Amino acid sequence: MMNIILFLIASLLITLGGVLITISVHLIPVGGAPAAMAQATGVGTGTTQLAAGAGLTGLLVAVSVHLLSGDVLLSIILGGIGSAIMISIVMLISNIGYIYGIGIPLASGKAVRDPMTKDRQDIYVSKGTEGHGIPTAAFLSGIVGGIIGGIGGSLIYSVIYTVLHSQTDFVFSTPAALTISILLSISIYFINAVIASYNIGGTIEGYYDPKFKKLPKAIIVSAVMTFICGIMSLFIVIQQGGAL
Amino acid sequence: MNPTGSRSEQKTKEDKFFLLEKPALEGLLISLLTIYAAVLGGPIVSFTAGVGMVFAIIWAADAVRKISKYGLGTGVPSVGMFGIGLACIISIFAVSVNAFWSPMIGVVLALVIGWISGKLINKILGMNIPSMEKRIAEITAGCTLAMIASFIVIAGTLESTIVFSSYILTGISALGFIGIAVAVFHAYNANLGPDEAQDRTKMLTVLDALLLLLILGIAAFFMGYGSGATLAYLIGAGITIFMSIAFILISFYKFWTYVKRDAWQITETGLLPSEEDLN
Repeated sequence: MMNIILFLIASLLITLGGVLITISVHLIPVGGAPAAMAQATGVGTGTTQLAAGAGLTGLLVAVSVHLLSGDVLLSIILGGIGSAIMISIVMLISNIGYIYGIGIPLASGKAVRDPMTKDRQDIYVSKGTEGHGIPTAAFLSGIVGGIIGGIGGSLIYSVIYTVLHSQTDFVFSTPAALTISILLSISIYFINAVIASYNIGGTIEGYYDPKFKKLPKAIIVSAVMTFICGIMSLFIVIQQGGAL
Repeated sequence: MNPTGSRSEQKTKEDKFFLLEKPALEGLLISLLTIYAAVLGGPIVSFTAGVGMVFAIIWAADAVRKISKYGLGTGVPSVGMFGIGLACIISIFAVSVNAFWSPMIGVVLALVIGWISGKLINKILGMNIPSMEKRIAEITAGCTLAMIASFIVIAGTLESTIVFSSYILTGISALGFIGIAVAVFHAYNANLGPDEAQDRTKMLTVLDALLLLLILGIAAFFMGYGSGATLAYLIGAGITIFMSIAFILISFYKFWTYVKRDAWQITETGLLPSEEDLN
């Protein structure tokens, strides 16, 4: 049995991971169904799908690095980079589709000038739409979001795995410990992605979007929910640590 | 097809206690009964848990249908993934606490945590969707029951050691996770629109749940066969497979009947036009 201080620290670290995931979803340019028809800025799919794609890639990278090197810190950082690479590929390919497939310039509907390049945006936005494609600022915001989200997901995974491994009567095989940690961290990932998605109402362009100011509300909800889920996950891990 | 009536009438309808609604009552009672029948009867009757899984999924899918009517703004799948994320943790937690009482513990925990999360989302995030708390609690509870039922379909029991070694560590948990989520949200997501009809959506839910049950049954059968399980376990898995195939055919036929009933016209597209026709 682990002592209560370590238990608290672990659950707080899991909560931090959940909050990081929530922040990351606010940074990724999600367009939802309108963006799939090139009528809103962002990637043309929902937050849940984007979170699944980027988050699971990050977890995959983190788990493989952890398995090969055994270094927790390295796996957390590389998990973030893996997520960022995945989200960049998604944004790049959708931009190619928007530019060469639909034939539209990349323009933000929320900002008059791009916050990064200072290029004029409003004159390129087609009438009746809220921007289209993924302009520079949204793209960079998405990469940062990917890094933060990947770090959050890998952090949750690493904490659960470390707690599982620190049990004195630890008898899990390595794949077994990995499976449990991944299953629990994926569940927490989805919960936080959906909370953030409800806060932004399904679409957001990036850090310069007015909806980004609603972030503190999502952090409160996410922290509460992740704390509950984190305590339950830690209980499962401690209860089952020596059982198999 | 939207129920007409004034806003106050709809509000009183939404304020009803969830057990007074037919899908919730059916889903809760039938799935609990069938899960306990499978727990008490041993692996040979594990197929009854499959029936329970279908009813639990119907309950959750009905709640998804009712909440998504208000327009979440994030797509129907989001609420399904939220439910399954919570349900996955809660069901494993419940099984870890106590094997026999895990369905009860799971449902109560899911209702409480789902209600809390719905309240937080509604009040703090400002979604302001009527009955959000109740519906998220129902979705989470339905998903939890479906998850626990799928434990029995695969493991044949609720003993946490066996559930962990045969369901979670083999990776079938990933199939159960996404399979239940898809069965819960797919039906309404595919049928939504002004001509959405409850019986058609429900039949598609049944079809989705049975397809998942078929895959789980096949997985259970071959996993048991490979690891030298008892004859009773193999018979239970075999009955799951044949039962789900039979009901898949029936439910697909009924779904197709409903589609033809609701469609204004069914035309055949014919072959692709030749190049001369296009010019």
